[in-house]
Formats: sequence, structure tokens, C-alpha cells
Amino acid sequence: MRDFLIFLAVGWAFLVFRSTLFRFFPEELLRVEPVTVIVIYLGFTRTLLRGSLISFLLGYMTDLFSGGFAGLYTLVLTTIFFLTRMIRNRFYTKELLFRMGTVFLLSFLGGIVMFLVLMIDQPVFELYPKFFSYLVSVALFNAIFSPLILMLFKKIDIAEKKFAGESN
Amino acid sequence: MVFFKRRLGIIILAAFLLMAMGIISNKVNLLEEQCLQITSPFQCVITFSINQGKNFWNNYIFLVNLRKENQALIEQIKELESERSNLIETRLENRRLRSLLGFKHQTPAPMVLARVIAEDTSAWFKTILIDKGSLDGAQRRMPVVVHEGIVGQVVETSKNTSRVLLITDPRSAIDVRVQKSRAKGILQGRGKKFCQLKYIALLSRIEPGDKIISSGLGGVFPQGLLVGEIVRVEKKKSGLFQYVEVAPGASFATLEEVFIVLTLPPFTQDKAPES
Repeated sequence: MRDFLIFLAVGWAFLVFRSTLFRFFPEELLRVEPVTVIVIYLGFTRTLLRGSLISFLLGYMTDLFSGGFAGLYTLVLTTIFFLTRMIRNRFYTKELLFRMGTVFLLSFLGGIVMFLVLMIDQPVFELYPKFFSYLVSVALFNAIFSPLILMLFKKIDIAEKKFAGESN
Repeated sequence: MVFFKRRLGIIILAAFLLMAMGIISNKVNLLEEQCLQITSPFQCVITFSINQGKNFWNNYIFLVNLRKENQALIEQIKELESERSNLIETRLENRRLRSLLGFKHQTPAPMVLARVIAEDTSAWFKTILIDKGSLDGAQRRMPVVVHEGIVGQVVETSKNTSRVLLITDPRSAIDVRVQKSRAKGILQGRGKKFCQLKYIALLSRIEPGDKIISSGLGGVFPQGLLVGEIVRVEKKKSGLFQYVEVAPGASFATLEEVFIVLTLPPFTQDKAPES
């Protein structure tokens, strides 16, 4: 339960800062989607059930903060979590560079899922003529910023374990 | 493993259902309403603090160049004074011509001032959150403007906040005219700072610097509102239309306050709930 609350609270704080502070930075920085990185961290460190539920809730929360339609990010982030689990089970994923690469790859794949979903509603290439170059830039910015977020959650996990040990 | 996969399947199915509901209903649900109620005060406080910090920086720390700036401003005031007097003349002439032509005097639509409290968290959509909602009379499809031009339209409202789809969002399309040549086209967002003006015929005479105004045909924006200015015109060898880029009049990077025009387009007025 504590795990749920921590991830949701930090995710919420990230979204609030993303929607307010980031307005004053250059437009290129606005392409970072911190919640995607949080979900990838969940995929590396949490069990299937717990991680997928937190990803679902984080996705829904992102939908509430965004002007897209409800459920879009819920689906995309849950899928990203599942893909991270698949990578985790097949490769050695402790290296930071590998994790950054994974963030890039999964952000890109998440964008493809979004592309497919948006295609149901309207022709995406008409809306975003440079969809793929934009997607690469989103994935790249997520990868560049990912060490900060991954390290933050690692620290939170260590603090949580310490706290749990003390209370026992 | 099968047990977990089944649960994961249920979660993905739930996400799909949620998305389907979102597409069909297009309304703010209770959970969304509550989330906005809880979150918007925090967003207000952060935005307010940043604005205060910016004001402090601009008002005190930047005073070093005040004398130079003062001189420049005095010059600018003189220019503006002369421009203003020209404008007054033009307005009076316009009024006379209108009465001559028998046009009815148009009463300005009621407007409500709103503050921008947050931007979209997604890299893909261009929307802003403002601090006025249904309690202040805001409704879906109401135009949002600033004095420099159109900002967008309200797409979602809760009690105290509204989400505005900016004209730079790729999902936004406005029926517009080029003020000088009267050529008609559709202005579509590109997700960047410029929009694209579509369906301008190759023979239409347009050039960078021409003003773009709303045509009033789209059903959301009243006729004649300033939208922006043409910045790039390209005539391709093939194709029927020119490639035209438009810089929106409103500066979205520094947007702090906006006006919601509290008048619904005629064909939605019957359906709209009473505020």
C-alpha cells in the first residue's frame, strides 16, 4: 500500500511541476514525459501485478492532466510496463546506459502504440506530418532525463527499505 | 504465470474500456472533476510564485538599463500617440460608413477574464488549463482570446477550471480569411509555434505580413477576430495549393491571462446546458 501511495504521490508531483514549471523552459524541454520513465522503473523493480496496477493508475492520472482523451495514456503506459518486464526477463538491465537505451526504445514503442490508437480516431499523419521525427525527439529527451528520475526512485526505495527495517 | 497474465489482460481491457468511454462521452467525469479540484490550487500557487519571481527579476534586477529603456519608451510613446490618433480617425470613419450602409451596431459579446494555471503534461497535445469554469459561465466550444488574437476554444469544463485547446494543437482547425486578399482557408495547428494555412489556391495573392482573421464560418469563432500573420509562403511546382505558414498573434509562451467569450456559436446554443 505504501508503495502505491509513494509512486502515485511522486507521479502526481511530477505532473503538477510538468504542467506549471516547464512552461517557462524552452519548447524542446516540454517533450519530456517523466511518468513514462517512472513506469519503466516500475517494470525493472516491481512485480507484475503491483507494477501493472500502479502503471494503470499513473496512466489514468496522466490522462486527467492532459488534453487527450481518457484512457489513452492508461493504455500506453500499461503497455510500456509490460514491455519493460519482457526486456527485464531477457537481458541484464542493471547498467545505467542500458537503462537509458531501454527508456529510449520503450518511449519510442509507447509512441507507436499511441500512433495506432490515434489512427482509430483520425489520420495521424495529417495531424502530425513529422510524427516519427517528433517521436524520436520525445524518446531522446526521456532517455536524457531518465538517470535523474531513475536515481530519485532508487533513493526513495532505499529510504523506504530503511524505514521498513526500523519499524520492524 | 497464467494467473498474472489473466490479470494483466483484465487491466489492459480496462484501459481500452476507459478509452472507449472517454471517446464516446467527451465529458468530465466525477474522478476527473475531483482531481482537477485538488490539483488546480497547487498549480495556481506554483504559477503565481513563478510570476512573482519573474516580476521581481524584471522590476528590480533589470533596472540597470532603465535609463536607456526609458528613452526608447518615450520615443515609442510618441509613435504610438500618432498611431492612436490615426486609429481614432479610422474608427470614426468606419462608424460613419457603417451607419451609411445601414449596418446595425454590434454590441460586444460578454467576456470573462481567466488566468492560465497549467499547460498540458503530454508532449503531443497543446492545451492549457485556466482558472474559470462552469460556475463562471464557461462552456465547451466557447472561444478564448487575448487582444493579440485568438488563443483557442474551451474543450472541457469543471466547476472552477476549463481546458482550452490551443490553435497550435494539431487537432485544431479554424476557418479563416486573409484580411487583404480575402482568400479563404483552414488554419491548422502543427504542434509547434507556427500553424499551417491550408487550401489557399495557387493564384491567390498573399505575402508574408498579411493578417489572418477568423471568417466566422467554422461556427465557433465570431467573424473578424485576429488570428495571426503570414510568415512564409511557398508556391510548389506541383499541386493546387500554396504552402503557407502563419505565426499566431497570441504569444503562447508568455500567456498569462485570457478572455473567454461567453457566447456560444448559434447552432450549439440550443443544446448547451444553462449555466
